[in-house]
Amino acid sequence: MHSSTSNFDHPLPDSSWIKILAYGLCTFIAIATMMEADLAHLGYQATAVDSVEKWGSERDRASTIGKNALIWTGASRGQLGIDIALLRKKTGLEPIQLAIDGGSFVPVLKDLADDPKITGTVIVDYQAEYLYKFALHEYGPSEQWEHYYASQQPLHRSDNLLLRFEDGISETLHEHLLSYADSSNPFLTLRYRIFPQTASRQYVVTNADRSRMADYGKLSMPTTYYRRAASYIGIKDENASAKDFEQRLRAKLATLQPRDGVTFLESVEYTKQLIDKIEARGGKVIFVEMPVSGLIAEAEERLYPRAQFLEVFERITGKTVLVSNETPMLKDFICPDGSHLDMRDRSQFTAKLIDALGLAKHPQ
Amino acid sequence: MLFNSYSFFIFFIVVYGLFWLLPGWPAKKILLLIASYFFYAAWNPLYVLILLASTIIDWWLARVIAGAEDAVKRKLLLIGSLTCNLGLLGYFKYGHFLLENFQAWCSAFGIHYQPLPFDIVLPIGISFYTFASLSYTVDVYRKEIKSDWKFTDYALFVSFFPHLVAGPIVRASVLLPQIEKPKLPSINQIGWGFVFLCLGLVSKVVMADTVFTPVVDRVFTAPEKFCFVDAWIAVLSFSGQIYYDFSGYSLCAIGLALSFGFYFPDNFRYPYAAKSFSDFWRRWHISLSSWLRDYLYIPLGGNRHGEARTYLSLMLTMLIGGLWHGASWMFVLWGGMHGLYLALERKLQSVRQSPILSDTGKRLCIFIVITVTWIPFRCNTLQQTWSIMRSLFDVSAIDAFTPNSIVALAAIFSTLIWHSYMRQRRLENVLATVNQIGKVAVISSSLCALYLCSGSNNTNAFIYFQF
Repeated sequence: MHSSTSNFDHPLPDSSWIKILAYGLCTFIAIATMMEADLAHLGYQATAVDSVEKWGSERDRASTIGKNALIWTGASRGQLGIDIALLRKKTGLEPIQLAIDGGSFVPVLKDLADDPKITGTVIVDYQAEYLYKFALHEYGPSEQWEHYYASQQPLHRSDNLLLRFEDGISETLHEHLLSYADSSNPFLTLRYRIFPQTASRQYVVTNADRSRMADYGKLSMPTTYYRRAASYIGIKDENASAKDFEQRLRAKLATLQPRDGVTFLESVEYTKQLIDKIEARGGKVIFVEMPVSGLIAEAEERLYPRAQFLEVFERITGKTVLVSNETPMLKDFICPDGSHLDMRDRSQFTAKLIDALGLAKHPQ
Repeated sequence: MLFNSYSFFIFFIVVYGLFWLLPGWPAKKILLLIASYFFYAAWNPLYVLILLASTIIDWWLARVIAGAEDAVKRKLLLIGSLTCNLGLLGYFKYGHFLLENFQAWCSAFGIHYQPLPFDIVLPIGISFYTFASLSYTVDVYRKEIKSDWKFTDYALFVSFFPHLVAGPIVRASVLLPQIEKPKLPSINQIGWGFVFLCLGLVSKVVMADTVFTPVVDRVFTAPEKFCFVDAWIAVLSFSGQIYYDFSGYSLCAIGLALSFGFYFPDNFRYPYAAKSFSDFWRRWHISLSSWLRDYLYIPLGGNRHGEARTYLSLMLTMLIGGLWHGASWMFVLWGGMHGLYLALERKLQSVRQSPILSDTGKRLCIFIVITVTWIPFRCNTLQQTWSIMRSLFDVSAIDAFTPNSIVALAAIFSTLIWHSYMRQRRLENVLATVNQIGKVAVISSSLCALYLCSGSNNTNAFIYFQF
């Protein structure tokens, strides 16, 4: 007896499946419309989607600009803290945002190092944590994105009309639906934006150039700040709004031990090879440590003490890291959640960073 | 153009609309032929020439074979067809692999050989259309099928887009008569076709890509970091991933073909309910296993020339079947392991008549062995395979269950129960017992699930595209 799913050698059962499909489709459309209406009611607005395809097309662009390229790599701190339009205006260079939210910069730097067409300036958002994790094969989404990008190379995605068409439809559709706002997807939207009893609010907007703007004024503070610190430190299931929460965080903070410097060293030596490769063909690699505040800054210093990590990095690579928290013109910027700049500060920060790096078209 | 892409959706709407608008069967067939070539060209327009060349050669050779009276001439012409088809496959799919191995052999004998760079991109679906095409010339040679098909009908058989890039491997004797005879799909076929397409997409997008892939990738990327629990969940999940990925594609292909009025044979029949390894191969990738049986195992002698020859034929068939999946020794190893199981099973059956295990016990054992055997299939190197195997027995630490792994585990157990339940049943009969509201609920929840899992930056193409 057959147990198949097709009807090759069996008569089809008589059922009005077309009608059933039509009803099913109408039900689905009604549910999707209700989701959109609910999100609109919560105040959400559609945004650009920070997809792997968008990243890939920016990465493609990086290979075509040559000396004039100003490539930013790193994680979300750079995406939220850097104003790409201002970077373009003030430096006269063509900025490309290649930072990946939650991703290590190392796989991206490797890809750039392996591409002989990359001859411009690469700014790396230095975070000791990502270098340390790289040696442990923890790359965040960076490796997956890189891998996808490499797999698309034989297809010449940027020259392939059909793939561009696919990317175009996907982008257009997602950028007009609230369920995909801020690079979310309908499942995450349902889980975190529609289902929770406390009404959620959209505080991040993704721009077409892959930069993002966070309005921390829309979030309840210090709960958001405590939650981020708790997640960084490794505390789960805590009531972040409780009065004694900061004390508990500090108590946990005091127990944090520095990470293994030997593991870190492996990544630094590897990174040095990547820097050398880019600079050997006339490119330039600059390291910047974005601002961090409060408990996150303290936790980072405990886990990755300057003497064992940053200074080792500088010694081995021969590069000086511009540490925002120690640079006079940048040190006063405060990250509301401890880790990222607010949208109101990003232009001012970008302008001052350009000056601090000496990248301005007409230095003042 | 993936079945789970927006461009395919638009492509299908345009082609389907034109299919109904165009008058007459010949015009509809030409439309499907042009659409299929366009579908193939979407990957790489130049590779359409390979598809076209392979089609012309086999169509012409089959006619010459059929017209030849002399047995030697017929055989030579067949060898010509085999050489052309396997030559193309060998060059594009195995060229790099052969060079690499030749280089390794030279180096083992102290000879320094540095081949020129071989950066040829594998034409997608070449293994599938080559096998479909080969079956035609062999069947003509065996006088099992006529050879005077119109070229355009034959070209549509080879290139028909639902089966072109990842099967099922549809034989000429099945599809060509359907193409030749004018017959429009009934409303029932269209409905069923779309239901299959919808369920196939759910298999791929929801089950394979969303439920299983993250769990599999997490562990297979760095197996040395994981122990017993995570390793087993990942290995079990890969069983789920590859099943839902490939059966999902097959279901989409069967559904799409059905919506145009063409029947494709089944490719999967609830394989994880198999009670033996031979039963598994009658349920897994049926179009390939039956192809290998008819065009390789039986010509090699099958079971007609004594025990030793039977085992040799079995082993060779499975090794070649393994290699068909990709130019890597890991696939050969996987094929060899299955050959060994089939041989052992045959031997055991010949010496022992009474079963040792109950039916459920057999199914579970077969599933576990098949699951573990997927490891070399998934891994790129022996080292990685070994690393995963070690993690499976590493109880030095207890991994914490993640939400993803709990969902994947629940999904794989549900799959086993579903396969056991469906082993002797047909999906259409089971769905026929559901009332109208239930059926609407099945369709709308499938569409909702597809929507919920969309846009998650999951960019996995179908696994079987690489073969």
